[in-house]
Amino acid sequence: MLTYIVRRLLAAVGLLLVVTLITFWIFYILPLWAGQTPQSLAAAYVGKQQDPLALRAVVDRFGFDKPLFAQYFDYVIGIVHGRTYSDGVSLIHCNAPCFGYSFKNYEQVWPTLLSRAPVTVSIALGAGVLWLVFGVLSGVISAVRKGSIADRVSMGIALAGVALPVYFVGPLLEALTGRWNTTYVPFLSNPFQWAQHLSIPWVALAFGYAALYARMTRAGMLDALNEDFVRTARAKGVRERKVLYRHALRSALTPIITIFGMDLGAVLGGAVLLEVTFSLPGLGLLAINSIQQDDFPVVMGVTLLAAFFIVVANIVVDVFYAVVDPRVRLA
Amino acid sequence: MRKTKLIAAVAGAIAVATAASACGSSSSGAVNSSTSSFNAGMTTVVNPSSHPGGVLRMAMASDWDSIDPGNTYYGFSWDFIRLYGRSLVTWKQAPGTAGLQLVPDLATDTGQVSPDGLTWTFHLRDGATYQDGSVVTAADVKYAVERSNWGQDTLVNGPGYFKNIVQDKTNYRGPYLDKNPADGVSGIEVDGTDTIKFHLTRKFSDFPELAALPSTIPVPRAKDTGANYYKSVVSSSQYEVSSYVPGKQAVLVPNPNFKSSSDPDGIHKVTADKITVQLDLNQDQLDQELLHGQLDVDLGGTGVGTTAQSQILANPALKSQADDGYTNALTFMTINTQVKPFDNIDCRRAVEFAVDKTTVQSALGGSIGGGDIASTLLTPNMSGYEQSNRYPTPGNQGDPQQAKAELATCQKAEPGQFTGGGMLNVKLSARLDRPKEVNSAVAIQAALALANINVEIEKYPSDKYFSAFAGNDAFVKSNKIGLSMMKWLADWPDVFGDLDQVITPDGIHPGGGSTNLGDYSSPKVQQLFGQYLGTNDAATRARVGAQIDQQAMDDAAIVPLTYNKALEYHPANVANWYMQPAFGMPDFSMLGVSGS
Repeated sequence: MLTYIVRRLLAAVGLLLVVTLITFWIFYILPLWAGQTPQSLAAAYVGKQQDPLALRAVVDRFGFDKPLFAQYFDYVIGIVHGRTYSDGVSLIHCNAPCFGYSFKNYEQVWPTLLSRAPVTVSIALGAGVLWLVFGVLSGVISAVRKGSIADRVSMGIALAGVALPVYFVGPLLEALTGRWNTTYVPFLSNPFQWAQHLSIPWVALAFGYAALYARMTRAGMLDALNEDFVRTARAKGVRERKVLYRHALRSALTPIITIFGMDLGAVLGGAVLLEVTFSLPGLGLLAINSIQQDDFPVVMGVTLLAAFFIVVANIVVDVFYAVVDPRVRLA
Repeated sequence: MRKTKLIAAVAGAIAVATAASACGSSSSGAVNSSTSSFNAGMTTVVNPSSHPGGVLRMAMASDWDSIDPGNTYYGFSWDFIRLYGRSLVTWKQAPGTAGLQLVPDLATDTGQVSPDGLTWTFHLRDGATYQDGSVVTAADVKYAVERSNWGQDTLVNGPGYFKNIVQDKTNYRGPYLDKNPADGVSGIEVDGTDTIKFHLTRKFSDFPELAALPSTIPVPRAKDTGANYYKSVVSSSQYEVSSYVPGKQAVLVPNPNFKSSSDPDGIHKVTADKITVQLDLNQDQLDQELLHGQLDVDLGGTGVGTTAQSQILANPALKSQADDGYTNALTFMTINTQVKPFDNIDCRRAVEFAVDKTTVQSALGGSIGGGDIASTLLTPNMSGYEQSNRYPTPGNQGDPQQAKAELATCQKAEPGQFTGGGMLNVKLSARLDRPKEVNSAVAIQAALALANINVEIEKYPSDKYFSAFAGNDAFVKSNKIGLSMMKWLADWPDVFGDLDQVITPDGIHPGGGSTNLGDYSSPKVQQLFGQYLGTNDAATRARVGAQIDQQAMDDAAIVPLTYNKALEYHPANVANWYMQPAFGMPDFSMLGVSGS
């Protein structure tokens, strides 16, 4: 098992390196291939009078006129070893993991990411619990009472959940409840207000996911209920409740947990639409604002962090799978 | 954050419900007004109050470029900054034309000019202090101007007007490259602690307007940390920055060391205990919080979104709390004078006559919240604005026949630019992430087609529009971009503050970043600008300003489309509300909460 985990971690590092290469290529190299020059890249960082001194300073600070491989090398070295920047007045040492330096806000990227992460983590965990509980619960009810009114209503709601995006459900919930001032209150400062303010975003985000999970759980349960081991359990006189929850649901949950890990990882990387809809200052909103401001170091930082969450979630799910399902080989 | 079309549609679907809830709520700030009426803030100060206390809750859909007075170039920022910084002079706190007057703030007057017009002198008021109680000196003002204009290697955002006109015999490199405190700009002279003189290279009668820029807000050299100064801005005004987290929130609290004796004209008399600014809110969410009394002010200064606009205009109670004022911005289309066949004035005149401005106005949002149809480059709030129309068409709907006649003349001179059937193919650039601008381009495309001008619309991202595309000379010429959509907001409300960067070589940057998208340069206009800046006589300046406008229009380098307007909403509890015409937005420097 240990070898398996180490191997997966090494593969994850390789994957993240590939992600850095691709994101670097998109933000720094592709524009040059499209005909931009270091000066025109710098122009986006300078006020509307485009002072030549300011343009020169931005080119120097970003190293836009350095060889591309040198720029990429500096970036990767910064992540693993740290690097030093100049803001024109002083030198700033950016400790590892140094994801760069924002010359928009004159802040290191990594602390900025850390300051935004609690918002996104709060959203992901709260919504994750909601969609897992309600999705699985309604899926089980639908499967057990297949064809009943409960099943049809549940699946109808699930269909709506899949069809309606968060930027529709969110404002609708706000209008219905009359609560327009969704903000983020840190958990440690006031847990009650933290939950109260995030309740609508949680519901809005969980609605779509819960719908998917309900449909997946229902399908998985129906498959499991037709399996031989369930028939055997019933033939042996096991109580129906135990058959449903100990045997059928356990079997149906395995793929659900796999998907849950991946979904949670994706949301942790930034629930972009939700954060934009509710103006919640998490990683997703940071990414959008940074894209609009051409704050490339921050965009790259969020992208890498999102990739990190996905990769870690993938590893956790694989390890979990290996533990709960003996059929999974560790080769 | 700009909303997506879908969000707007969704919010529109629930607009009825929200409007109803606003009407039904007795606690809503939206319906308690008994003193306001639609556009009242254009001519009067609405809900005047000196009621002390309360928290003034502001928000906006974006963020500052920087809160550093020497490193910011946004209109709302220059308006708001007066809460924590005092420039030498400022704009009078009054609606209407009175608001276009300059009044002294940190200085005792709006500047004394020498007989040769080359030296401007300002004296600082007694008793002006920073938030730490130390005295503001003329040396601090000098340093502020030097760092913001000569220190652009570090402070990259702000304007550099002083650098262009102040003498500098020492070739000063700015305080960040030249760290010797004894060095400085030779043309800025400090006499004692309270007198500062600016020696200019040429006459510049707009100098008081320059003195109103945040560049003259004093900065103590010892406290300057370059680009990081925004993290610890030293206040010289009534409030100080308690905290500012980019992308999240700014909080201002009263400056305990502000001495009202240094403010005899009572410019700084805000009464709130605290001012909070939430940042990067979704515009729809911000609007709804505003309509429901959960916010007091939209700091963006660009008006409410389309959904909220519909709600406000449909509800008399909400509408009575709104103002539809000029923003001092002009939406226009440039005709590139260096791209064939538009180097020929007859082809440019053909475009001027062909455009149907009524369809463009509709595409931009209509007369309320969008703008009035424009026929001049100066907007109506500007000093020097004179109503005129060099290319009148019936009902402003375009005149295809007149356009064809102009085009025929052009074709004789430039036959190679036309197809065999007499069609002219041209490219029009627009910003793809600005739907109203793209819709305007489509309206222009339809109108020009009636005059045998076939327009191909080229859409580019707005963040690179000036640096890499429409403002990049090499790109424009190699791709033959003859027409470009554009919107421009004046730096200050007169012909130089508005048009210098749009119709003179000052706005042409060959490497990219041009704002004079028409590559327009006219010796006559340059001569008029010299005349304008060489006189301090207001009547002459106004007359010459109008001449500059009309000359540029005669040369047909720009098609003015709309004088932009924005629908601004204010809850009833907001005190001292009016639209400041120099900024083209509410006066953020004197708002309060009335406590009602």
